[in-house]
Amino acid sequence: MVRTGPAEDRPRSVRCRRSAACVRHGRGAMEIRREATLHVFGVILPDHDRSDLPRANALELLYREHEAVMRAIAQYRYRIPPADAEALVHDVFASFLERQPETFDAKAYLIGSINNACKYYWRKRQHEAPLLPEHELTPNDDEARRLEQWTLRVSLGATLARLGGKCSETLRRYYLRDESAESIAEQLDTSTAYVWQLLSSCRKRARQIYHTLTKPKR
Amino acid sequence: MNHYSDDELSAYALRPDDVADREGVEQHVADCTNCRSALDGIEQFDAALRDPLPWEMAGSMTNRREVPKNLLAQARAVAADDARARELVLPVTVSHEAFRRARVADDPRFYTLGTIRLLCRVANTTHEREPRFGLAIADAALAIAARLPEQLSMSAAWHAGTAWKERANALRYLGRFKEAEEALDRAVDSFRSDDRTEPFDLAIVAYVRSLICSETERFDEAIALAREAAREFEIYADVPRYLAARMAEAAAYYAVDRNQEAAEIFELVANAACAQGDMAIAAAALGNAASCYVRLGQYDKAEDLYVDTLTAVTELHLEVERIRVLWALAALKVERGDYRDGIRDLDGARLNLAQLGLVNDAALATLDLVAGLLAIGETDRVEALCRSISVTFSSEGLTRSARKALAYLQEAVSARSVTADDIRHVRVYLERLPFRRNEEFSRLQ
Repeated sequence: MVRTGPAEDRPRSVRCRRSAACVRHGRGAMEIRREATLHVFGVILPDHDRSDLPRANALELLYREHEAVMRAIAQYRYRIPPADAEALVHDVFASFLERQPETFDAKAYLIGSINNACKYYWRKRQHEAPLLPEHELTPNDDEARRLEQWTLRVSLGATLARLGGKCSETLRRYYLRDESAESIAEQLDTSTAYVWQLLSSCRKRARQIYHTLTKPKR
Repeated sequence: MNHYSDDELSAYALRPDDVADREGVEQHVADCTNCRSALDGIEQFDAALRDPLPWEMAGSMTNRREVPKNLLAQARAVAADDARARELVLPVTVSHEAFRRARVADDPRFYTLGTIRLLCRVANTTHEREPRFGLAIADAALAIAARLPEQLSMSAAWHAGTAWKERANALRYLGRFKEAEEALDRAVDSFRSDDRTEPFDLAIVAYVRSLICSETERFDEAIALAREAAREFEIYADVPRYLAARMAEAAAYYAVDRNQEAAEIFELVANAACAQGDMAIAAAALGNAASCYVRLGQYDKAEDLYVDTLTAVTELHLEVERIRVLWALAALKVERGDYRDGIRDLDGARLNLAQLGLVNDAALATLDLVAGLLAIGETDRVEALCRSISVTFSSEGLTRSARKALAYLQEAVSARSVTADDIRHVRVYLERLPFRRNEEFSRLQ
């Protein structure tokens, strides 16, 4: 007889440390999920903080971290005008607040949700613009992968937005405009060796920011 | 092996010609998967910097925005609503009787969105233990959704959809599948009538419906629905739900003997669950994959997977599952012709199962033991063992069907004509009975 997953529709997870059984089947986990934690919008809050104040704090945290990414998906993947993109993001947060879905990954849920809101946006306006394959409501097998690729592109955008001006400018010249280190050095009135050093440290800094932004938070 | 640091690999990716030990790096990454993968990551990141779109996006992302005041106000209002709901609901949901007495659906103090949400959550955690109580709670939530004051009616559709879904969950546990499906239809109607239909909610409905389809032997539908749900859960990166939906899909394949397809999905789930550290799902998936390989006659693979399952359930202190895996390993030994050890282990497993009160599993293990004894011509214990077998099901219909199969077995034992094929026939029938409730027992021709 085979055993299926949890019978109820809210699968419960049992997390444990690295298991010998997983040696051949993947990595073990890092943490034990404790019972005595409070999830507010998918953000785990400390045990002692069980008042309702954390809700506003958790919202602020989520909004600051993900609003820009969600808006960028609406604007750049779905080509929704900036004002409408902003309104859609607002609606997604409003609905998230009211429904309080039990999410595994709040960021992924919000991104899935804005993705869906954008599709509906264009479906309501199909007399204004023809529907494209990405406006299809029933996802195909590739949808999750494509959405993930978009999310990573947007996360790179967010990374570049957080880099300092000098780093951003140097990387832009070298990678986007394809300028040589020598030419950048000349423009910046500095040595080529310093530009190479700058490129090296700025790439490292960018990778660090990117990893922080894309690391799943539960 | 001395590995290269990220900084060294990054320097190589930027200016390979300027790295003093260029050949050394190239030779090392050709052999070392860790360093190769680290270098790949760095090179992919560098390549992504040539994509103009992230630069364009960065321009619009420089200023972090504050939460709009109306959203913050909404957050506070929802928090207050939830706090009030907790004060009202939690004291009356301590028992079914207390809940009945409270008549919450007739009390306007309960007519809030927070109350509906909380009732649905309480119902969801109650179904497994007390499905009738779960049903009463879900029905109260539904009644409240229909009586919400005018100013809240805009939000009623999603809340009603959630309450219908919980009603369906309760009915499923009660075995009232037709009504459960009707409730799911109503849930879909409600979700779709909302201004912001979220596919995530519809996917949960599809998952629950898939489980019902499996329970009512509509396996093709179960497979399609589970796959649809999994696809949606993947978009929302809800790994536990995604894995549960894939498990449901694979279980339906297994039920119709599409063992190769089932095995592949179970292994995929096991790998993903291991990567997530979700050992309960990993253990179930590993054991299921092993069962598929037994059916496919790939005994070595099955044994490896059972051993991994045993390790996992032992670590999780799941004693019942540990005994079941030991039983499966013993049956596998018999299947492979290792009768002496297999029969000894099966004897131990059936006693352990009986001691744990797992009557039906003990019956199946006894049949495995009898099949082994018959295979080596040791018939002395067969009659006594067959007479000791009993099964029990919550449904009277299932118990009647099972008794019919056992009567056939007793008849063959009394006539001293019982064969290994008879045993296998009865065993397969009994094992599948909970999943094929309507299948009548037919005598072996």
